[in-house]
Amino acid sequence: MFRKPCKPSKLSDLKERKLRKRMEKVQPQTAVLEEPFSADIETNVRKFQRIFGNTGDLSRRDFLLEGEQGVEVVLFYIDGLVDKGAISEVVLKPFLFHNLDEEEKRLLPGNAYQLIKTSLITSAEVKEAEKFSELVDLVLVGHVAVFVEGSEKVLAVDVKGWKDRGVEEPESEAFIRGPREGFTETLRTNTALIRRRIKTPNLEFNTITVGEYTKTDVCVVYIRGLTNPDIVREVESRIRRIKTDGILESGYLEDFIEDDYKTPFVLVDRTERPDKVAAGLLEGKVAILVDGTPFALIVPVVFGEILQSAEDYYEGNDYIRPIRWIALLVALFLPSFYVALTTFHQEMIPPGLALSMAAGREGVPVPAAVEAFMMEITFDFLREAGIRMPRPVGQAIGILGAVVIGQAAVAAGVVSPIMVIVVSLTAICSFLIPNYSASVAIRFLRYIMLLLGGVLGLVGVFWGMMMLLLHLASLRSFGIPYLYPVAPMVSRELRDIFVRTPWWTMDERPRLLRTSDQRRQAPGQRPRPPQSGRRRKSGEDQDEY
Amino acid sequence: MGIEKGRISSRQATYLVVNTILGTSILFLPALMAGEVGQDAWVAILIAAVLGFLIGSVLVISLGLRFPGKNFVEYAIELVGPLGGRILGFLWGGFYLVVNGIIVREFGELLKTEVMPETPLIVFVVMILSMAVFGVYLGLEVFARVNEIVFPLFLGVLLLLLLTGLPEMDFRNLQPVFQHRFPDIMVSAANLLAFYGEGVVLAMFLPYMRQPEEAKRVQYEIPIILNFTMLLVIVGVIAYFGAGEAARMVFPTFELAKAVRLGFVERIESLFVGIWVTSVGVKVMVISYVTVLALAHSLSLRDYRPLVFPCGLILAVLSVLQFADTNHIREFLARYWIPFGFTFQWFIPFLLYLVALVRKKDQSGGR
Amino acid sequence: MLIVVISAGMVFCEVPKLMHRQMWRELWAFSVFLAIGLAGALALALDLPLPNPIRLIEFIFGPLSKLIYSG
Repeated sequence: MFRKPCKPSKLSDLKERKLRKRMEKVQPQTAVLEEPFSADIETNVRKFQRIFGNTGDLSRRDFLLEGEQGVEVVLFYIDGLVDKGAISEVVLKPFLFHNLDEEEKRLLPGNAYQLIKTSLITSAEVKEAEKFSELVDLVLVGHVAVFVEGSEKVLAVDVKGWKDRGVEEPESEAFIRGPREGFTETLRTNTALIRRRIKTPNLEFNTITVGEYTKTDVCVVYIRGLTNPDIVREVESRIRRIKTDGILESGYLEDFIEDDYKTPFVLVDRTERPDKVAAGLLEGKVAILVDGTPFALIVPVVFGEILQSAEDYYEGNDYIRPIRWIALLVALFLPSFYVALTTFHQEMIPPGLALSMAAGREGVPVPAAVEAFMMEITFDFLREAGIRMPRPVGQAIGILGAVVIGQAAVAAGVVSPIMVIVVSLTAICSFLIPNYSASVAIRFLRYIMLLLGGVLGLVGVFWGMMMLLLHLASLRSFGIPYLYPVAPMVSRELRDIFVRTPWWTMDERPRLLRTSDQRRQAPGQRPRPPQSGRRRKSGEDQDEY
Repeated sequence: MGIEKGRISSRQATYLVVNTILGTSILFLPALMAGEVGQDAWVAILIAAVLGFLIGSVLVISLGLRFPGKNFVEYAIELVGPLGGRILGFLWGGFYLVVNGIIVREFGELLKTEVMPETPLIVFVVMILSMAVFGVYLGLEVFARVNEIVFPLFLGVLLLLLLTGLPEMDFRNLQPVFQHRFPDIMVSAANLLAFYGEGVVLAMFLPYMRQPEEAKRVQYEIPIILNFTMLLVIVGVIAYFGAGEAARMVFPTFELAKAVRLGFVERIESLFVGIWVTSVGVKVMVISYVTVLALAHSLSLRDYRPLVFPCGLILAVLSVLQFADTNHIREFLARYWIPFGFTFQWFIPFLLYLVALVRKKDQSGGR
Repeated sequence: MLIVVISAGMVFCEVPKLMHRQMWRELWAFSVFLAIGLAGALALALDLPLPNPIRLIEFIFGPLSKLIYSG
């Protein structure tokens, strides 16, 4: 049975080399960037300016530090990325108004750099750069560069400050009950929002910079000692592998790290809500924050979670989950079922209903499948049109749609009234799915089901369902089977899939995440109200009054 | 060095095997058995249950446990030498190819004659096979998981069907007991046993169970679920229609679905058939999987996937070619299935077991 | 015609993968099985006579079957 290990083929070798070549992207002006600073401030400044070219937002400020000969200092910062008040507060003021004593004045000419670093700058965060590349990177994220005459190092002082949207309620995930904070475009704000919810030193934000040009900070968030380190490692390695021009939104990242790009389903969850991220972290998942977007990613995700909303855990409506599952089935199968019944299996429809349906369909010129397809696609047009429009226009489209779909089409005899019911019910049900991209996937699959139902009847629909199940079962999200915990079945965890049982029943974290600490809480915390008629022990009586 | 990397749970293994046996036999057997032994069918089931359990647990479970991590063909090679083992594996693969052709044809016929008469047979054949090929290509783990969802659904619908038929069942139909000669009952039991023989597919994925020690549990669970369902269905069908009428039908279980009413909804057989499609789909997947895995092992390939597509094509040809019509299938199953099935499903493992006993091969490490 | 198209699709799916992974033996097996299947399918489509394995089985197991059902 054993075979000789085969030698690597030339074919694949060649391909690999080609691939590697393509991956090595040329960094602009690499030569200058890798140079160290010289002792001559003029050269440093000239080179630094040449790296940036003649961009308009690079500001420069020169001044002399008092002393016997005076030491030349040059500041560089990017206008708009820095807080100018902070510059004057932490850099300029101490430089200009600080009265050096005799001792310092004597030392100044040779030790200006040291002096500035240790006693002049009043900022909490000062970094030293030894190469142009380091300095450039710092200046680009809102540091001010301090070139000092006679020094081979350059100081970079953190004075970040730019226009920022405040923490607002996330629009894409509006809740009735629950925190109203949403992520913003600033990474630091977002990390702080998470940190404020999970106050443990074990919470780690591991930053990786991605993008040759954008240099986007990508933050891998997890709880040390709880999250399975294998998943963290996998996430990080997938992110590190990315070599691209830029990451502008977490959606870019999602495409790069997904397990299977061919599926319409979401293998990476996204959210605008810090509370949802925190809940995911506590379950043992890994979150990914991307600078510049309020959408955080959560991995791994399973199918059941596309029907979960964080609000399920705040507002104790246990029956909302089954309703969503039914809605999912309706959204996916109702049109195809209806078409299959009317086309192939009329005998299944109760006679009374069949009569009225036949009456409704009288005069409809096309087969039911085509009719359904037309209606579905009209509705999808309307929905897409409504989403991108400003709100007043969107409402107008809604009214227009209601008239077009609901009344005019029926009156004109193009569609049957029952089809209108079917289509609108389907549409409403697809709105019940909390995860937007999942509902888009369902919308897309509905057409396939419709086709199958129209051509092969119920048998076709079930065939499609089976293919869909096979596909879903074959998916994995960072190693976790997508249909877990339904298949492979872990019956204990079903209590958070089809229903949401009270918190005190969910003592353990999802098992397949293989967290280092399986227990979530002490078991047996079911509330026990004092029973009437039974006397309490005498020792507890004191509290009662 | 196994070809299959996936691992399944003991529950998945149980469901797979039960579904494999029930999937189509529940379609044909009631008529077959009603024809052979009429109202004494339940006796035959009980006999087959006991025998099946004994033979199955010895041949499949204990033989399999002697060679941990090895499937049927692998230990066949171990036991009777590379050449003999490979020939055996090839025969096994060929056998299941033929059987699969029969299954696909059976079900295709049902769909064609009962549900959509205008559609040509080949459409259904292609449909079932495309599903099977897709599933097998994705691997054991995947279709085991799907079955974990589909099988309880199928079982539930079956029980619901019997339950709704209950008011109209006449249990006097089961009366006079022991009208038939004992040899007849034995032959009928043997027939059933030949169908149960499909459970030998377990020998192919026993080593892929996550906890092999749970094989002991599987060996009880399978017969219990299987025989319980079988008994309910056959008794239900005979009670509903009477033995004579059931014997004249081609697909009595299906007729039952046609006859019962579920509240205001009648004629739910299409729905029933739809759910059945999923169950039979998994069955065909399991058997195709066993086929290609056996073939891949006997050809010492490193992966079974290259064989999946071509075997699907061959299956399509076989299923259309093998039989002229439904009567031919019925006749074949009634006359030749016992010797044919017994030889491959019980006799070959039995021989292997003997060899293992004689040569004292046991790699389980005395567990 | 359709059969040929489907088979060509299979070849396109499988062959490059197998070549890349150096699985010559697998490729060989794939080709043989595909050839059998294709030949059978074409013969069936063109109504050419084909040997039926069921007849063979019926022939082999015929005596056994008689033994069982006569008893």
